[in-house]
Amino acid sequence: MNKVKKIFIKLGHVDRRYIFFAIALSVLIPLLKPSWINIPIKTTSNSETVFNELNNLNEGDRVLLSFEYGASTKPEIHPMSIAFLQHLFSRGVKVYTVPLWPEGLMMANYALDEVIDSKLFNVKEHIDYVSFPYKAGGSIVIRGIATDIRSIYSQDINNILLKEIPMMEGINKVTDFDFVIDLSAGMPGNAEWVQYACDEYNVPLTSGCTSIMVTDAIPYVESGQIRGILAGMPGAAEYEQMVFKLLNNTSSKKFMNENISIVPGKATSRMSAQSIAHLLMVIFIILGNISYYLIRRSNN
Amino acid sequence: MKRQLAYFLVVFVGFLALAGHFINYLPLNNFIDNDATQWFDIIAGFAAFLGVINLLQLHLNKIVNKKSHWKYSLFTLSGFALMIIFGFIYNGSNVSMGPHLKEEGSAFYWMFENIYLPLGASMFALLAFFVASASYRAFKIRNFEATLLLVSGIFLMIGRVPVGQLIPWWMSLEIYICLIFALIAYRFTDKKIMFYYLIISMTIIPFIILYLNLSNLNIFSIPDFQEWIMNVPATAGSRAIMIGIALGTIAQSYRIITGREKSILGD
Amino acid sequence: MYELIGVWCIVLLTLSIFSYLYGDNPFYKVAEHIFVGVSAGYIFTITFWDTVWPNLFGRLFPKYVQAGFEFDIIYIFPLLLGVFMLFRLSKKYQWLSRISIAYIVGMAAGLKFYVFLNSNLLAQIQTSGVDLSGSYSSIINDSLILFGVISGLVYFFFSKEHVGTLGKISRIGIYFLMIKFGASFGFAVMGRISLLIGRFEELIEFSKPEYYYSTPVILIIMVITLAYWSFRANNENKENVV
Repeated sequence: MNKVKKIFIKLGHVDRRYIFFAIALSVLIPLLKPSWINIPIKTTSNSETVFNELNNLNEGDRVLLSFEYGASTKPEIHPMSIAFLQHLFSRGVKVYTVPLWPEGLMMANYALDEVIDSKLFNVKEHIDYVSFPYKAGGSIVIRGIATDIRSIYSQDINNILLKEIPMMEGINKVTDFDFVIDLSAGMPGNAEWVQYACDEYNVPLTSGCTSIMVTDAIPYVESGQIRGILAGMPGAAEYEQMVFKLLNNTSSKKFMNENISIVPGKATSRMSAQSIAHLLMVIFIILGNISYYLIRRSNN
Repeated sequence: MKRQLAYFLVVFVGFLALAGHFINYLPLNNFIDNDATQWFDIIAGFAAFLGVINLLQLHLNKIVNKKSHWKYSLFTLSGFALMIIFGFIYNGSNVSMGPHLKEEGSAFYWMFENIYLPLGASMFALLAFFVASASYRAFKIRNFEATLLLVSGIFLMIGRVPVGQLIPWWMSLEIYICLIFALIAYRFTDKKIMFYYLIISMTIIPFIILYLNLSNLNIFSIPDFQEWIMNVPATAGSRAIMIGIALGTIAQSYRIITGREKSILGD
Repeated sequence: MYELIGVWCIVLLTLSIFSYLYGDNPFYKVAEHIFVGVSAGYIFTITFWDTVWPNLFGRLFPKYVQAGFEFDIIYIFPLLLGVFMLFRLSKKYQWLSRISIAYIVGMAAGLKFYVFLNSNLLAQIQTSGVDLSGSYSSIINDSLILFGVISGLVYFFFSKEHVGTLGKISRIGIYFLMIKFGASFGFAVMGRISLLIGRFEELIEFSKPEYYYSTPVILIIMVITLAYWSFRANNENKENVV
């Protein structure tokens, strides 16, 4: 019995480099061998709310998609942006992309290029989507979009004047959009969209954000100021799964090209690595506590 | 007089910004919505320049006075110099200076994609290891509050990922029973009796639950329970903090706008 | 070729940052200092070309800058205030920077006052109410949320000592806050692991033959170098002790 106690006490004082090594392995092995661990993903109510809200949009509705993330948070949020674009294009919705971070412009371009290159949808620039250029200012730009979008932007990303773009007819402020989707990794983010635009002007807003931002955004979600939220990579995986099922459903193929294979998103494949890493963290915490308890008892 | 001018400006601009929401006068609204906010942006940009110049002063000082680890400051200044050269002097792409920052063929974009982005992403990712190590060392059940923190964190970590669904209802029940006994353990003077009670509870209660057909309750599903934790108690805590911060911000903004706050000008 | 050099830079810098896990070492220090310098340069350049050049000089010299704005003389004020900000570096004229700071602080205070009052205070208080027409479970949950919000706010009320009933309610408020912090911790772990997964995916991608096995090559070189430095440092320590 004493030997077992000593082992547990030792396990509570492992050199931290071994912990780093174990965490690295727990992430690396599922990535190298994804077929070894394959657990189905269960959707949460917040992700389902996001999906249902966008599913209620009609053909021709106008949605503003705001990109506020960069390469450092790309693994969490980029799968969401791909899934959002696929969902919106499958419903015949007009998409307006706006980057509020300098890197957001690149991320928006990558996401659009990926969806368009998949040839799943027959979408054309200035007819189905418009991309605004990056403007510095963060919450100032959000406020400008809320009151007068044309005071902030006079041209799109290709330097075409907004008044020459058919999709821009009737778009002057945030209330001219039917929905706002915010993809955020920091400031400005979903809080700024709530505070400066959507809450004051009563425009529906949903958000996909990094895991760290979720607990701060959850009061807005519960109060209805944000309609559903995709929480980090698990949220992205859940949403991807729902969109994947929708795209494979024959009744939603009106705006899609036939005979193009639908590929599941990247977040889904990363969830096995996330699961194992979390499990390992919990095991470490439990071992640490067992050791602490045994040492405290022996001291008493 | 120098200080009074600054305080007058704080009060004037503060009232002006606030008035934009309540006074429906088009020139004022246009100024607040368009110009005043642009000015804010521009001056904040100069503040960013100030920060950068400060940083350069620090590292130059280190190199000139050959302080400890001064050789590494050479890398800092080289990195900075390269970005300035690629940002203002050498383009490398077909577009003009300015838009070249986001043009894929430009030297600045190359530095951004191959130096800045991987360094930033790796710094963030490094924290994953330290979070694991820190929680292993510091996350101990010392009192009831620490237990609550630990338990909600663990439930969230397990419930949010697919592996949480694999935990069967009876295992969740056993975990809850162990947690309850951990909380009431101080009431037992004889730990052997506590251990016997624990074993009996862990054996009998699952059968009672099964008999009463309660095994499908959400509380026994870790993902559903963590969702409840997020939607109810965590929301309550977040909302309390949010309201507290809002009250503090409003009070501080009021003090600033009315000129009562003296410590705001960086002195 | 530039793409290949870029890939090798990415792998080298990523592994240099991760080498900190073994201990502080020159690889990490160099990468860290490069990051500081490159970030400063990036912020400087982006701020100039995206903010100051189009918004300020675009309005003062529209024909030259051509940012789509017309000439507006009032933008001489932000130019002056911006230059005043830079006087912070001078001991004699430092007082001028207070004027610029005054503008920023006043503007931020005015904007934040309204948005925090509207969205973070009034809207949150409104939705904290209990909808008695809902189901039993929603009434219980809403009541719990309301009680949690009130008790959490009582904890932050420091004008009265937390004894008696106030103390008990404050205690319960702490419990709700602890659950919130635990949830935040769980999400923080989740977020960091997600970012780590992203980095590892990139390293795995760059270990392929088309990138000349950059990841394993650089990893082996780094491990050998770190082992050599560690061995040399140990020997020097032993000599010092002797």
